[in-house]
Amino acid sequence: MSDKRKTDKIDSISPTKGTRRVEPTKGVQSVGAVRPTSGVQGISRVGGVRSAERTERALSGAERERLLGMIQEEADKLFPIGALPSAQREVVKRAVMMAIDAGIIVKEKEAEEKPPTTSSEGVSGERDTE
Amino acid sequence: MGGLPCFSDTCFSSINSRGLENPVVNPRRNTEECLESDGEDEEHLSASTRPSIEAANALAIEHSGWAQSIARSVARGWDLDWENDGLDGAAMEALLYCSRRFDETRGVPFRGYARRRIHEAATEQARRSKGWRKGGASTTTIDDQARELSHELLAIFPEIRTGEIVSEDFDSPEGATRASIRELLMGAALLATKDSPETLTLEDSVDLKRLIRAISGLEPVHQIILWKVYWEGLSLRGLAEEWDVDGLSIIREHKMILEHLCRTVQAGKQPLARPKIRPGLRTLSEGVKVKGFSSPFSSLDISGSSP
Repeated sequence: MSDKRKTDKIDSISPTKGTRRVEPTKGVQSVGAVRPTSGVQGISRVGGVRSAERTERALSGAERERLLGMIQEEADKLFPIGALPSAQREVVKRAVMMAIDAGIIVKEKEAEEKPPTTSSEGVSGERDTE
Repeated sequence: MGGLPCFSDTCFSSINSRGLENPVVNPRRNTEECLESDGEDEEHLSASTRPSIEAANALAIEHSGWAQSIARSVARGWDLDWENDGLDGAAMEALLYCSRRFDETRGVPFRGYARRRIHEAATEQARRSKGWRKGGASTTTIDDQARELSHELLAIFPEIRTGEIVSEDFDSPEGATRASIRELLMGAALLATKDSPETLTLEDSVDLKRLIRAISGLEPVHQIILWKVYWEGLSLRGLAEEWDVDGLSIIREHKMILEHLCRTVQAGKQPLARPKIRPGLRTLSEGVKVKGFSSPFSSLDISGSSP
């Protein structure tokens, strides 16, 4: 499709108007000496490492609680009364809590000690230890 | 770490007999994204870069506890039983699949490579589980709706699967984590608007109209992005392919639109300048305007009934 668009723009090809002499290369005069390096100034951080580190990170129970509290706070700020129907506001908030909670890894022992707050009857999947 | 979990032998044999099937059952949106995200073309993994069976088994054994943690996280988020609902088996299958396909020469750590795939396998199994159909321990309508909505969120924001939403700046009021949470909330609000019940009260319909009005104030191409992703269920990368533009352009444009909607909703009646279109989408945007644009959101009937 894009090829067709390109060819439509070409009206005609004008002929070449003869050739000129190609100038010969001149000999190499001199080559400067190789200078020693003056030391490495600094190394910037590699971009991909951060995301790999994050992938490894397990949150503590307290951090998880704080994260869930943060969702509550942001939901209250973003959707004050009148910005979204009340029932939907609750569904939206819980959906974000569920999605984030399902994506974070919580340190095992702490997770066992502290029951989660998102569900009403606790979590059945926290009993195993690594 | 401890020894192998009790289910691992079963999984090893089932995987081998089925010839390493991809455990992710529903590849609707995320698989293509996670394949692209770490730059691997699985179909073209050559025999020379494929790990030996011994090395793959060692990887699987080493990471089995970690894969279980992912399954438990999914179960915790959706209030399911990670064993009875089969999330442990799904996660283990995905782990084995990844261990066989992992190519360390690409420079991606194994956990970075495998986490999204294991999470996807666990969530797909969760959707098929009895616990999901029964509604888990808490069976309120709100919880059921929230669970469905959160699954859709995972498809639109695949970075949630790897915990990338969470950054170190927990306590910063304007931190990246809070910004990501706001975007997720707005994304969920759009999905909830799409699924809004037909029998809205008058008050609710007025609230919804405010959000729709904010969307209608966007550039035509931005409205189309929202419509395609939230109402038609297309992935951001799928949309980029459909429009033949760079995937990152669409992802960044989407992020910018959500940020703008968040600011608009918070500002109330005060009008805000609509976001500019990024260079990668300008040609497309001009094309939309030349052809003539009628907002798909104008067709939404949010009339409402008396409370």
